[in-house]
Amino acid sequence: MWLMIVAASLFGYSSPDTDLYKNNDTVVMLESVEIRPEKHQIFSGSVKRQSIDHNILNSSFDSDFATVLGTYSPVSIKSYGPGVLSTTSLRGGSSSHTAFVWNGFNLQSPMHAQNDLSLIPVAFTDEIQIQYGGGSAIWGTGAVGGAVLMNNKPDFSSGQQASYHGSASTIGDYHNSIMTKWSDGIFATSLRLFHHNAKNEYRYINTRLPDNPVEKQKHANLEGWGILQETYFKPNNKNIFSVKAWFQQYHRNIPPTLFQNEAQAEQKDDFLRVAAKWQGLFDNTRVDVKTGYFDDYIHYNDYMFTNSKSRSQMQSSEAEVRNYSIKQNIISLGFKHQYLQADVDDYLSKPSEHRYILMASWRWQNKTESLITSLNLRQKFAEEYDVEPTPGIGITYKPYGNIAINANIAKNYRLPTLNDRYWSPGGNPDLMPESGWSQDINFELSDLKLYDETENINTYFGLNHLSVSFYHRKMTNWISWVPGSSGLWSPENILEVRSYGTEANKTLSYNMENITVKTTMFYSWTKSVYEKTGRETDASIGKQLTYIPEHQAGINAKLSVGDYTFFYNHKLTGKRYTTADNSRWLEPYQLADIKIAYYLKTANMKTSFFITAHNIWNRQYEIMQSRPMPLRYFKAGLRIDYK
Amino acid sequence: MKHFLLNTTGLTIVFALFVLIFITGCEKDEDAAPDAPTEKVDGIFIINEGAFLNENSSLSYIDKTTGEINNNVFYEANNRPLGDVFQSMKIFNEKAYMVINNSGVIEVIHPETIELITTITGFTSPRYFLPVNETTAYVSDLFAEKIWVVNLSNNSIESEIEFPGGWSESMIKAEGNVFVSAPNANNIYVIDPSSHEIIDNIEVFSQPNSMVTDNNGTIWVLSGGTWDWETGEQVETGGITAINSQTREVNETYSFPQDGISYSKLTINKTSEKLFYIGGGIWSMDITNPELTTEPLIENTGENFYGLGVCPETGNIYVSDAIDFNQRGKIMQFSSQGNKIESFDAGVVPAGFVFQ
Repeated sequence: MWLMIVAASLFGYSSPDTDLYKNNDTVVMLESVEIRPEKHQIFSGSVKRQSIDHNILNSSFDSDFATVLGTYSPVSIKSYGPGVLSTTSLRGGSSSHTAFVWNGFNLQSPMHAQNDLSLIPVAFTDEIQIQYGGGSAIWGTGAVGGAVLMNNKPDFSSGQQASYHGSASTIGDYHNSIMTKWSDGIFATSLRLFHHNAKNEYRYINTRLPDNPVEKQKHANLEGWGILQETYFKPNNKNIFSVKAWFQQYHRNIPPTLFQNEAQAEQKDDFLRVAAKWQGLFDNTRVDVKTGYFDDYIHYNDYMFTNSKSRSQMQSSEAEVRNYSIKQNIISLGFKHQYLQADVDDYLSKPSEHRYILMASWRWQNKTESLITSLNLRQKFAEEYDVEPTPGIGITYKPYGNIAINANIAKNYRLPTLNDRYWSPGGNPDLMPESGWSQDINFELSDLKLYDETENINTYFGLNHLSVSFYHRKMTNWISWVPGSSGLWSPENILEVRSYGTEANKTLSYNMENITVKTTMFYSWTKSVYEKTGRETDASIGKQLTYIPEHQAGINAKLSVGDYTFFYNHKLTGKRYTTADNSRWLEPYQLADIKIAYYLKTANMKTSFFITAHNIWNRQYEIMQSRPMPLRYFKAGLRIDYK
Repeated sequence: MKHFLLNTTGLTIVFALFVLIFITGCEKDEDAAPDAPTEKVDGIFIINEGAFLNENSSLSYIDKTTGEINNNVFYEANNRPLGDVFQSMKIFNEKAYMVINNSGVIEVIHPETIELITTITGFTSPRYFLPVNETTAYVSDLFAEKIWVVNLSNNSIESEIEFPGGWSESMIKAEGNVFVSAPNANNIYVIDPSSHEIIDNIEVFSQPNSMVTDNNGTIWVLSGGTWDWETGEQVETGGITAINSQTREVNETYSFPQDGISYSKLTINKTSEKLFYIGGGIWSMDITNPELTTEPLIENTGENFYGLGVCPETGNIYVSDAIDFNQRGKIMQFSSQGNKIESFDAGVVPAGFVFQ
């Protein structure tokens, strides 16, 4: 019988100089216009959260979410190549079990339920947060292993700001982006643009040829551009309106595998994301209304047997009323409506659906804020299938100021995709959602400082953060495509998967005069095994799911001396099985990079120069079977911030 | 005085020697000698297709004398993976030609040592290999809409035959001509190998996927049937067509019932008495008195039967279960009557057998 270890942790990798909102720590019972916590920050504060450091975001302006998550967290990234399809696996879930949330909107694709995070530019976000563990009670479908949050925040500080970022690499990768911001305290507007052009002629070792020659990758070039416009209007302390629009296009050639002589496949990914929000404060009540429109287009052509266009359009509207009248309590009621439709070459019809969701949340805390409990309920009504209610309970207990113990129990689900239901041939419209319960517990220690004997407060050794978590999740009705007697493959809700594991990380820093050293080390152990497969005797029962490494570990180190900063990142990814019975696997690999940054400050300009060496130890590795990854290459970058 | 061998006693002794040589048959001998020969001269090859795009196809070898099975013989001999989707293999003139469908190549190896001789490249999605004379072979293809003509002296593609049927699948030689099945065109095309021209076509049941010839000049074609992709229902039944290889006329047809089952992998035993094929379970048909049976010879109890072979010496039936197409499959050996003898593990998605 499983020991129900209930755990949750929340922590942030925030550096001291940014005021990132810390969940469950300083939750205000009343809101002011400057601190406007989002719903998930209030009602799922016990869920373990990781924010990517601002310094990392600032120096990764030419990067994408997949690369940053892969370097700075134990999230498992499945990448087909640099800049090519990259999906995430969190806590032993599939690539459809990580929700991608943009400013509160769950953008999981209704067609395939995966999010290609290599398409999401870091330059377009103000914050990257990883939420570990089930979050369907807040985010809905797909937040099973966790969620990746992309947030854009208003900057009402007056004046005009602008910045330019550019980088070029020895594999022919050129990335340019600009941002301009302006605010007069009432209006704030920001415009971001990026252009990405990569030849991607990277070197790799061809292990399929007898002398293992070094070859240059071909047909891996890509080009993309995007624009993100945000406008905020804050007429008074009680109301904020915002409109955001994000349009992006990417055209990528898919490089050949090691067993192909040449490749012709290419893919276009275009999308438009528009979101409008209003937040209003009335006495003890806050009202949030938001609406969004999301249009995704994919065109894949391999010039052999597949030339497929798909387009999905989703319209989503949500209203939430949050009340603070009762002391120590916060209550929220919400309603959401979604309309979606898809036009896919491989479907025989154009499905469309209405979904209605009811949400209720309650939070209670004791007078000293040392004990906080949250309860979230969510019920989705869909035309085509039944979804069970998905509750989530969280508890945070803080025996002393710097120590926190968090625990969560939640029900999570993932709706069957439109591809699973309508793909021709084989689609099964009778599929049910995948669902299951998850439990986790997290122990966390933060902000311990040990000063030196001279009591020079500028010299200290600090433990920024230490966290250890345990989790467990059992999913049923997990969808898998199986062959029928007719030879046609069709998806069925046949799998049962049990996932459990632990994550540990610690961040230490050492400060002395003008030298700072900060090191983060993380380790995760993930077991995700088949419990039922629909066949009585199956060698895959009890075996690890494919492409989910059991062990991952990493170090992110930063050394700042005067105007220079040195970054060193090293990640170890363990064995990944490629067959369900674990008879074949990809070897573990290590990947490291070094970055040197030099900051130059003048009157109202800050210029930063970067040099990066990727894969500094020149290791040959494959993340996906037969798809070679780049050997060592170099990048030079420049960032100019004007205020 | 007649020669010693030609009198009765001599003949009996010679006959006894022959019997002794073949007595081990296709059985896996459990009393295996510890020092197994490294040369593979008497055994069964298993074609492990691998999972599509996973590049995990492999060649297995069961040594008849030792009973040992090795599921990685290509990698061990050549120190590299075989490729993606190993579709078929043909042994001809002391060379084995391995068709790797999704790598677009044919690997040519020595059947005894498995060592690579050369790789024939340039195919689109090759399926089967048929030698048409000492120096030429045809290769069928899934997407190229042509048959490749390969020069076996220099191991390269020398020309192409435009194929009106689109997808070309199984090929056999009969009466000096090459018969090629075209599943999407519901026809068998006949090619004259001296001119590489298509001279005839014969209509058969829907989706002809496999063909064999018997000792009596009849070509047997198995068709799997077609399904409506929208409803998932069967719209056309498959069946077995018997064609006279000389006149190229259809002798007889046997239509399958509308049972939603797709039939494939038609195989014939050495004595040309029985046909076997997969359709959920394993079916057999008596050639001497041909009619469709109502029950399969071997019932399906939840397996995904994918490969089928009949040992020429013993008549035993070898069947592979691909399970979920993403792990090592199982091989089951049955007697010719359908009684289970044993089972063992093979590589990923075992799809066929080649008896040496």
